Amino acid sequence: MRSAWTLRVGLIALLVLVLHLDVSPDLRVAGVAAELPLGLTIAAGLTGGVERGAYFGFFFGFVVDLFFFTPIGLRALVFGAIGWLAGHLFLDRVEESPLVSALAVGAGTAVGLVAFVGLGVALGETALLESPIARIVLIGSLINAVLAALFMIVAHWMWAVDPLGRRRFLT
Amino acid sequence: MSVLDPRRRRRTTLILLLLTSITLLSLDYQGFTPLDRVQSAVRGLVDPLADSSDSVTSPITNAWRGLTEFDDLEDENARLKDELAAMQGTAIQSNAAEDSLRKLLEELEIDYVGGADRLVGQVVDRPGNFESYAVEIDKGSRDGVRVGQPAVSSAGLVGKVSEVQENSSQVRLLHQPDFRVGIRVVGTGEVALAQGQGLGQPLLVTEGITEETAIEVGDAVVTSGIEGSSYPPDVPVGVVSAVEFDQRLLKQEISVRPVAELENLRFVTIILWTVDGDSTP
Repeated sequence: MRSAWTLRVGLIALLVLVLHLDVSPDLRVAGVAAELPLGLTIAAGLTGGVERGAYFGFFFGFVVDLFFFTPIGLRALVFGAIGWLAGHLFLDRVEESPLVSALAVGAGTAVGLVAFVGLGVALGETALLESPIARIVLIGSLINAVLAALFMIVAHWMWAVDPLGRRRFLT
Repeated sequence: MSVLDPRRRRRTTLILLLLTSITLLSLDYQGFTPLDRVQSAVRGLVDPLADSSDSVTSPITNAWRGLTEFDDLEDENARLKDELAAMQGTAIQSNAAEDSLRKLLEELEIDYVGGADRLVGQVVDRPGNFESYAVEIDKGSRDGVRVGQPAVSSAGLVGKVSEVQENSSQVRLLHQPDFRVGIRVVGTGEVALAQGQGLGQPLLVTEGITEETAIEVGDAVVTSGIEGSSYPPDVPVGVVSAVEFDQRLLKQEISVRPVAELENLRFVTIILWTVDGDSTP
């Protein structure tokens, strides 16, 4: 059972990574590409809880870090913290509905992107400031909010939980 | 054996991950080799998948771009036609200017790049939402690339190699704000230090140009190549785009517009040259 769970997480992470690297840059809205890894991390926290969200965010952030020029560990730090925060909504039994999910994923994306830029600049990555940050945060959050339902379905399947948070396969 | 209560365990998880992230960051800044190997291995695994997914996804992405960028494409098409016409006219002038520059360099006994070996690398596209002062190329230590080697395009200096892995390298570009290069204004012999000012901005020279030196807009600027410099001498850097005189400090400040196109780079040539002047094998 554990190997099936690991396989699902690995498969989803790989698929989203490939989409993020190769597809979403070509499907821009107002010049902004979807921040798929961040959206999936938030959904992973919302559906899997604090620890799963944090660990998934950390490891997925680390892998995404390997493909960009920003320092390795920056996304791991931000995604881990965002997954941890998203997990608290799950823990607080926030009712899961498409609207709540969309709001949580959208707001989480905005917080994550601002934290990413802020920490990056603090670490000397001043090139981040040359980007249209406000537009990226606004449009990126909206795109992820629209895609929230999809993220939630994928994350539910990934953790093998039903929409109420009960495990289907792992008990 | 005591068991942590859930709240404490969650807090411990966060602290543990934060500390691990900070450790990763510090290891990356120190150029920790095993981390580079992990990076190479993961990229080697995922990049082919991403490349091969093109054939599946390109109809969707093309359709999306057709829908969302149709007006832009029409404008771009018209602009490119204009540019083509203009370029056909300027090509002749450029050839003449290049000949003039080479003759000038020869007259000044300038040995362009010292005949060092070169290696052409293709820029690996890693498009994201955020800008970067660096590009990645598909040549690495296996091909003889070393940290610090200068990178040029057909026009002139582009930057220098900042990180090297087995099959890829990272090139920091001229416009990075903390990028410094020793320059010489052709015809004056003045040696100074130019510094990047950000994307699309000219390099700024605030030190080293004396008040007596006659510098004019349009003067050619090349690497100084003084002893210990990170660059070989006489690699074209740019042309002077502005000259200002600081009355208080009695010195000149000049702006240098890079001749190399730093955005949308597709290929970069690495000069296999090290600080001590040797070519790497």
